[in-house]
Amino acid sequence: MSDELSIIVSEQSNPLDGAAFAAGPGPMLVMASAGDCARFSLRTAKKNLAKATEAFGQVIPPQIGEMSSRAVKTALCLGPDEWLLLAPESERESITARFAKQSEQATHSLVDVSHRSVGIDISGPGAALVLNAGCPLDLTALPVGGCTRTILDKAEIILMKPGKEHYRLEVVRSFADFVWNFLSSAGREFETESG
Amino acid sequence: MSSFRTAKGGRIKRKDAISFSFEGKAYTGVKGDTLASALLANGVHFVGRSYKYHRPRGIMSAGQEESSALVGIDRGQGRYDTNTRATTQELFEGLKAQSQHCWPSLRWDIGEMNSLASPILSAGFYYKTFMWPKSFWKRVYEPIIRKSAGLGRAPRAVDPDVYASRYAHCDVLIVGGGPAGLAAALAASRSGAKVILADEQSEIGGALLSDPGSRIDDEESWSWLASAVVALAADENVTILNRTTAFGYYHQNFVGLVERLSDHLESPSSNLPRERLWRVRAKRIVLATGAIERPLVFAGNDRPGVMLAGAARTYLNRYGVRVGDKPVVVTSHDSAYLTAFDMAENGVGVEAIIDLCTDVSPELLKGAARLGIEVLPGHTITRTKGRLRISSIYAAPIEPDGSVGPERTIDCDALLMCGGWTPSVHLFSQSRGTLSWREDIGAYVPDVYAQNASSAGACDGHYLLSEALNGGAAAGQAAAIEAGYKAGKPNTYEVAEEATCSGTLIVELPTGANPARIKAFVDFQHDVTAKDIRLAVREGFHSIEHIKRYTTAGMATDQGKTSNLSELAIASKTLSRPIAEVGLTTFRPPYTPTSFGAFAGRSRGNLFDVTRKSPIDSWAEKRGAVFEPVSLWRRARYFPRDNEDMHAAVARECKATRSSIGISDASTLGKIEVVGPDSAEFLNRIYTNAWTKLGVGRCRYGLMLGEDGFIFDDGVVGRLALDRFHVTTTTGGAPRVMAHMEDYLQTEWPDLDLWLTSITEQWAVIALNGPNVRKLIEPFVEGIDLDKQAFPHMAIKEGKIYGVPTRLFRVSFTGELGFEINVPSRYGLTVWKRLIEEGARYDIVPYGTEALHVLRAEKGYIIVGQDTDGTQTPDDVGMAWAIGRNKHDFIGKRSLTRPDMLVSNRKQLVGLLTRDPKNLLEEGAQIVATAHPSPPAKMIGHVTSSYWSETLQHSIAMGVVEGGRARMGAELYVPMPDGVHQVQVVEPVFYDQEGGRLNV
Repeated sequence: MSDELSIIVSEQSNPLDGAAFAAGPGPMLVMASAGDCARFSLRTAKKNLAKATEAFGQVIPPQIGEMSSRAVKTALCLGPDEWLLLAPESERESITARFAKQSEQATHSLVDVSHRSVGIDISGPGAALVLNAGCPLDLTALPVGGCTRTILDKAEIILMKPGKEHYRLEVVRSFADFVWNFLSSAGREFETESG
Repeated sequence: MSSFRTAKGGRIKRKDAISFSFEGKAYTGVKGDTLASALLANGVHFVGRSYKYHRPRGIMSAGQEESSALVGIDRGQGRYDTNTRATTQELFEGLKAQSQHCWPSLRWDIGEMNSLASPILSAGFYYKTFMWPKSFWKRVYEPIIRKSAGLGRAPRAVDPDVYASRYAHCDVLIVGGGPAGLAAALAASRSGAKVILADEQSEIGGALLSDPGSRIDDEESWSWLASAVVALAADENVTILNRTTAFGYYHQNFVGLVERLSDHLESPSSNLPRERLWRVRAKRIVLATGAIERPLVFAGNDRPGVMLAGAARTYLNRYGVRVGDKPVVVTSHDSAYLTAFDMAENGVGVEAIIDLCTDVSPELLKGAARLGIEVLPGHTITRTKGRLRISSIYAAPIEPDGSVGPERTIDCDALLMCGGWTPSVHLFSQSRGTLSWREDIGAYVPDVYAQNASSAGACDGHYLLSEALNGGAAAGQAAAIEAGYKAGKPNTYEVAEEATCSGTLIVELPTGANPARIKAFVDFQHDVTAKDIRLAVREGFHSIEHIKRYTTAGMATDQGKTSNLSELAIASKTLSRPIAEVGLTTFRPPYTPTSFGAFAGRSRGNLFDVTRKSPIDSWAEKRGAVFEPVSLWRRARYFPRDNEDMHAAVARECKATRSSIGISDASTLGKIEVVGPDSAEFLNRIYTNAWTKLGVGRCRYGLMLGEDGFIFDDGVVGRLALDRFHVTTTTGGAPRVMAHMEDYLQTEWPDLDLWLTSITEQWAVIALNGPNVRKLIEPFVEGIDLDKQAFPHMAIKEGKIYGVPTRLFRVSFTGELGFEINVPSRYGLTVWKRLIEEGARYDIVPYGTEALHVLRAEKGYIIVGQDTDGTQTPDDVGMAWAIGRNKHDFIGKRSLTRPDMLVSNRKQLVGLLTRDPKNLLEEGAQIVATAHPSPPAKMIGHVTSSYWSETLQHSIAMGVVEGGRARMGAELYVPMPDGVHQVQVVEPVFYDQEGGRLNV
């Protein structure tokens, strides 16, 4: 059976596999689908955060809109009792196991949502502009290292701002084509901007 | 260079000649021209026909308020634009423009005879004339009126342009780039505030563009303007948007703007959007929207060559165009003298200034004398002459008693009129601010603000350049402070030798003629005359809103920008009530006509809406599946082979499933993971069923009601652990079920310790049904004993298939042995393909939603939303068994005991079999008790599901019938277009009533 496993694992398919886009001088805008990773939706009371941090192996921030990111693990606070945890695929099982051990002392819900969404990296001087084609938020007010749940045109997204000109969004699989098409349609405007 | 171009001056590029055509005739203009200025430079005033009387009309203004010079611009396939104002259309090489409202040609227009019939085309003419016979309205009157009157023709081809959109936030939004707006932007930006400056014109500058002669702080105005624009452009906190109209002012300082990006270009790049819709949220808004000059109302005030005085000044100073060689000026306001002076200084012989006021300021008289212009104070114009261009006017003194003295003819080739200025308070009013009437300037000005905004310059009733600059600077500074910035004292500006700028509100000019016999136009675009307004008042319309609708004044594409105040003044005079008491019509967005494309933005083609696709969709597409939309998802409906139609494909898919294996993509089902110690209690309250005793590893069909006791959704729920459930919902119901659950959890039962997580897209779901399914998957499943006893019907277990983690359900929506393989989405396609491959030895067949519907109907399984319509209780559909009798409570429980829910003749779900097995009932058909009831027939129910069953070789149907279960075996009737069909009421389970096939 282990042979079967290896075959299958290499045969995963994502809606945006290999998608890449660049436009404008510089370029103004670079977009690419982010690699696969493990994702968890963590729901628990704030008082359990210390425990959760221990299980995740990385600080889980307490304030909505905060994101803590170190090495390859990221934790986003999306609600008063809601976090999204991103980690390398290889750590999926160990993280699950460590949280499971805690369920007695710290009640929580850890749900594996690794396959629920796909990520898109957007960077360059035009990154905020292309997002603002469909996202009504003031992105300059989103601090570097911040995150939020918002909308992009007709799709709900989770938006992270790892750098001043770098955004990463997460969108559920079946909306990914729409979001990618919307962003690349808007991104083509940079091919004409001459100042 | 054409004959009416001045020798020098203007902001045009004289060396860059541009060829264009109007009405098929070739002309030449220069870079920087608008279509209107280029036509005027060629001596063309007559450009269109009026809407109702088809009177020849010329260019009246130099801006967006233009009511007469409307043209169609053809930019090629799909790019025909109608009702474009010649005064705002920038000239580009090869521009092709056509006049509107004329047939067969502009010069010889058949509709001109409407003018002769004008006594019957008066106010309310539609309402009076075309009321009878009623049937004529749709077939005769409306089509003819629409065709001959029409405001241009709508393009039919698909619009090939792209329309962009952008959300933006700023500290200070300044609307209008004239002197007030510029001064505001300079003051606000100096504080570091983020500023957006929007102006509708091609160039920032507003009134300054027409006024090169003024001196600001000892600098020529155009030089001051250039440095101001350079300073703002260099500031990275300032965004300058020219060609951008703020068309709507909504709640909480939310303003809609349209930026026109390519209409002025000869061959724009294909990636360049035509327009961009900006949605701006501003902390503070400075309105510097200026004022619009008013025409005067007198007989023959609409001939080509009659123009607003300020427009003539713009054509002269900005475009280097003389609108005539011997103009006459008629005015009730000082500003028109500036036009006369500028023209005279450019060598134009101004014939006369007819001033309606008697006491003219000595400075203006001195200026006129110096330039040799005759001034006729206290005079009126009684009529004009000239068919396609004005040729003379009749001037007469106004006697002290208001009567008119002897007429005198003055020849002219242009008549430049000014009835004063109307502050542009459109956006302010849209923001729900209230206006007050200022008698001294005869205008409504902003009074009480409803939002964080201020006004500066002419839109606030301050017409002088110095007032605009200093008012703008103060407003800009205040706005920056309000937005949280430190701003120093604003600049003060000095304007040298500023002329006075006052006037009297005289709208309708005194005349010796019978006012009921003359055409003195108020609304030029809708051909509404002064006498129409008086007639409306006489006929009993006393509210300005009623007068507007009755006469259609102010209702055209220009929304009465030049006419509203005149209309108001005439109504007020006729009613003998002060203007302020007559009221104002409502200002509504958009400020100027805005393209549908700008609003639609990118929402067209594949971006019109989201099409959600399952992880297996690509396989189905390659396989030639026919899809159907199910909420936002698309699902394979059937998989035709060769030339099969749906009937044949579905019959084959059903047969294969019943005889061996059918495989189906169920990934779109809603899925929710419920985790936490109180999960079972939560489900007890949400569903009718009891969950506490459901064992780990077991599933149960769950029924969910609304508070009204009616079925809301259904689905299978599996228990993965004591504190963890895997809930499934219908495809279309998933979002509302999630919201429903969260709503109760957060607002009603916050004490319960559990959480909900949507996992719809985490799992791809492959449903396998048929007697051979176990044999197919057994070799590839790890960690789950598939034996009948170990893994019975309605079980769930986690394990692996093909090495991939799975949540394996043993459930069935077909009545056959069934498994639903959940695998993480990224594996869905591969696992599916493997199963298809391995299943070949069992002749595995993929089936779509249509076969699924047939298979479930054969078993009498309901579909929520098809067999229910939001008025069915569990008992109505024969599912009283799903109600946990001993449960303390659940949503909808109380409603189920309402007397109406307990009556015996509620509509109940039954099976229906037609007498002729080949007869297929129509879904939705009504059911009656007798074959030929006399109308009105009592409808006792309707058909909810109906299919051909290949397995049974008989059509089958389900329906809801009053007291249905008590009618078992009875004959009922279903009237359909092809006749009345007899049906027998039966149990709604047509196949394998004992359920033996499920439990193999």
